[in-house]
Amino acid sequence: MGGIYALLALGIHIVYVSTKMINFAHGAVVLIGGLVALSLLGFVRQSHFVILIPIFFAGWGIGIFFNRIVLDPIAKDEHGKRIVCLIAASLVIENLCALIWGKDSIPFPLLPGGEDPVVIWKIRISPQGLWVFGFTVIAVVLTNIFLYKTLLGKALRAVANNETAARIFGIRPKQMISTGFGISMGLAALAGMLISTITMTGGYIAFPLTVKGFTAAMIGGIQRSTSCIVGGLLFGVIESITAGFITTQYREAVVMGILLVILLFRPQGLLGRVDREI
Amino acid sequence: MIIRRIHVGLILIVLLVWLFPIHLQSIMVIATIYSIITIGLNILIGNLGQISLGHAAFYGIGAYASALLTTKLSFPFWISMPLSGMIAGGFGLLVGLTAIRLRLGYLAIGTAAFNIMFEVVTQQWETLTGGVGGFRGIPAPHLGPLAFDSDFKYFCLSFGVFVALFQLSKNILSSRIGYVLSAIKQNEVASSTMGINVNKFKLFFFTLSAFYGGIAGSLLAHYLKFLDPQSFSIVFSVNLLFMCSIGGSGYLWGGIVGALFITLFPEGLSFLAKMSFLPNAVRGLLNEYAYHLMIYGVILYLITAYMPQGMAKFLGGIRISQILKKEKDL
Amino acid sequence: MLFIHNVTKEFGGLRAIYNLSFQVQERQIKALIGPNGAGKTTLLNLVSGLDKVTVGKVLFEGNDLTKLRPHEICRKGVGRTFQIPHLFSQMGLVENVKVGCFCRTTSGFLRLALHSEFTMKEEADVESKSNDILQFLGFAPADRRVARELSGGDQKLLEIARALGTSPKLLLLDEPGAGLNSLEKQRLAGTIRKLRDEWGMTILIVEHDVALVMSLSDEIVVLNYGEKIAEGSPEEIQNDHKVIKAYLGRKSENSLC
Repeated sequence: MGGIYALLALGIHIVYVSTKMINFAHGAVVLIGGLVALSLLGFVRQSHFVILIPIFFAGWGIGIFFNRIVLDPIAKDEHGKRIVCLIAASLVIENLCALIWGKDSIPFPLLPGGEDPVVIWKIRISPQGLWVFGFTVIAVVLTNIFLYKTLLGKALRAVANNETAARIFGIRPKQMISTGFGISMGLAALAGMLISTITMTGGYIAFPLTVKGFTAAMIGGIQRSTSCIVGGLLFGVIESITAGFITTQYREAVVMGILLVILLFRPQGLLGRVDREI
Repeated sequence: MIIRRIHVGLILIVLLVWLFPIHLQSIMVIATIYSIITIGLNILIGNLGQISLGHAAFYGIGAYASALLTTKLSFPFWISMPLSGMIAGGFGLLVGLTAIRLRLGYLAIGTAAFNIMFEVVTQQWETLTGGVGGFRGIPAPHLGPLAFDSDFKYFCLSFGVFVALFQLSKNILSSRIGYVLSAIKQNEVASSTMGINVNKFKLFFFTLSAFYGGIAGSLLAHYLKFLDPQSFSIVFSVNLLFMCSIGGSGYLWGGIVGALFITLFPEGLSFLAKMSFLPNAVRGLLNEYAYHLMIYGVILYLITAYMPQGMAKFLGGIRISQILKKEKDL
Repeated sequence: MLFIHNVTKEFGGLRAIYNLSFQVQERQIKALIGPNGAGKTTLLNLVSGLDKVTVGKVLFEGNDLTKLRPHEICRKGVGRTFQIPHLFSQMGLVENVKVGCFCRTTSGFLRLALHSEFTMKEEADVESKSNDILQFLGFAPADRRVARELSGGDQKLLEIARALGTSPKLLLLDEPGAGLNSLEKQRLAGTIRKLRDEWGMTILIVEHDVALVMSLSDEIVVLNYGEKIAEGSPEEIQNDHKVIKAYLGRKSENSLC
């Protein structure tokens, strides 16, 4: 389970790193990613892996759409408005999905391996979870390489850090932000697809997903991609512990509560560096 | 007592609603209840810039609190309503303490998280709240022999509460607090160097808006006589946000315009849906709640991006600061 | 009255102020000058609480300001203006000043909500106090303009008026002369002097116009790259080698004479 949250956290991290904004519509894209994938799979009747690429790019497209069309009219410093716009967008997408696919949750075809837990090193894991986890690891590694080692990645981070300086170096902010959003949303769409194998897809889950992704990122520390992943895993662990020892039903509430506590006392997350602007 | 124009206006409104069909009356009750929440929330969002996605939770806390107080503890409605408001306000204070320190994006997520917490608790704590099945059997309030059990009577009740709270707010805002709010909106930094404790204000209005939400929740509980957790989800918080924006954030009447819109709009659509010249598919669509929400999303976006003053621009709305009658029209 | 005590301020790796110490006596007009980027506005931000010192103390009448938040500092009696006017742009003149006065009122929430008599009187007092201040600074009593509409020079005067509303004992002025023509500057200097002479105020002024500063101040502190290079009376400063060196070779429109 932690893998799922890690994936979400990663997406949120990317957007944050490239724009210093929290993307409220993240959850919505996860939702729509899952649903579109569902339909595609039904339509195309291929294995899951074939779908991965188109879904990713669909997500990317949505990301660019967000940046260009949704966010552009708002000046960059009007943060409040941008957030509201993203919320509005999330609303639109979520309900669009509800209209097309119905309001209830839909089960998703499984990845190879079936559902019965497999025992590895005395831990019982569902094969689906393994897929998600594996994918997350790959995603983390790739993201890390991209953001920190490639030129494009560095440019992306530069823009968020100090736009004027970045401009002087010939980087075009709009493109960078578009890219950031694009990757993040692509990842979100993929996450939507993968997550649906474990929990179902559909329904009004957009906002809770966004909040959970953010919580996971917060637990780790939103600055670093690695700590986000750790955050995601911790999230899963905390949830399980709560479910196991305290109560199964309230586990979500407990984690949310932890988020609030963290926001109150350590806004940089448990492992992150201090972002002076908080 | 001097009868002013405004009193006549109020009486006219009540008369008008009396003439409405029951169907419409019940809508007005809901609109009034929503308006109560927005009075407080609009100040928070419009003037203090605190975008809260958690106010549905305060609304819900008030509702469940009032339900419990009257059923389990047999409190009379007239005590449980203000008490629920205060309980909700108490939670508002707690959440507010965290919220005011947070920058915008984090604030929104934090309040959203609180809302989710509330949702989970109401769904799972079945002995207390009746869980997903709902809380049934909430009594209607009565004043001596008079029971508020018809739609119209309840409208009078909630309208009365609304007017009282509205006047209270207006009083507060036309005093120096109104000036300070205006100052904070225009320049927070300068305000703090002029001796204004901005955080205290934010906390105060956070609590106050939660209090209002709680009162509204109480009214809802005794009107519907039944509560279900779904009414208090994040989706509703977003709806509240929408109400405040469409009417104009920071405008006194803004929330009310929004509340009216969100209750009357579906009615308008379902009226359209009866028109037989539209294809069946479209008619079905018009009645779908999801479709409504989608439209709200689009409108919210358009208003935020292009018309931040919302409808108030058209309706000649009164800015909270303009109550002081000393500002020019800009 | 005001003690700046070994104050250092660092922004990340950049050192804006280094080991700065000086005093301002009561009823003194003290000026802080120096080339651009010398750290003058930063110091004002530190004193008024908008920024935190990295090292050092700021003592005002026995209170350590470095531990207080801006609004608390204001209530202790420190008022300030800003380099670029931070007015409440959509409010009128009187309203701006009134907001300044509010920190000295005492009506609690309940009284305000019920519009009690006490509150009404307080508000009337605030109104007349604001009008007095505006008149003192030369604004016409019937001026119905909104802050946005004022000229640059008037805006700066309004900022001062607003700061005066907080009944300060110490007034921090951040480049009040910027953007004023020489006539307005003279008027400003006269007003500042009156503030000290008639209202008993202590003034710390940051300025670029060296001539203005020379004629107005009792003492001057000169900053360069965040460090104090000279302190003394205007005559001493004019003849100080280090000061002359700091200003030479810079494209400064103001001469030292």
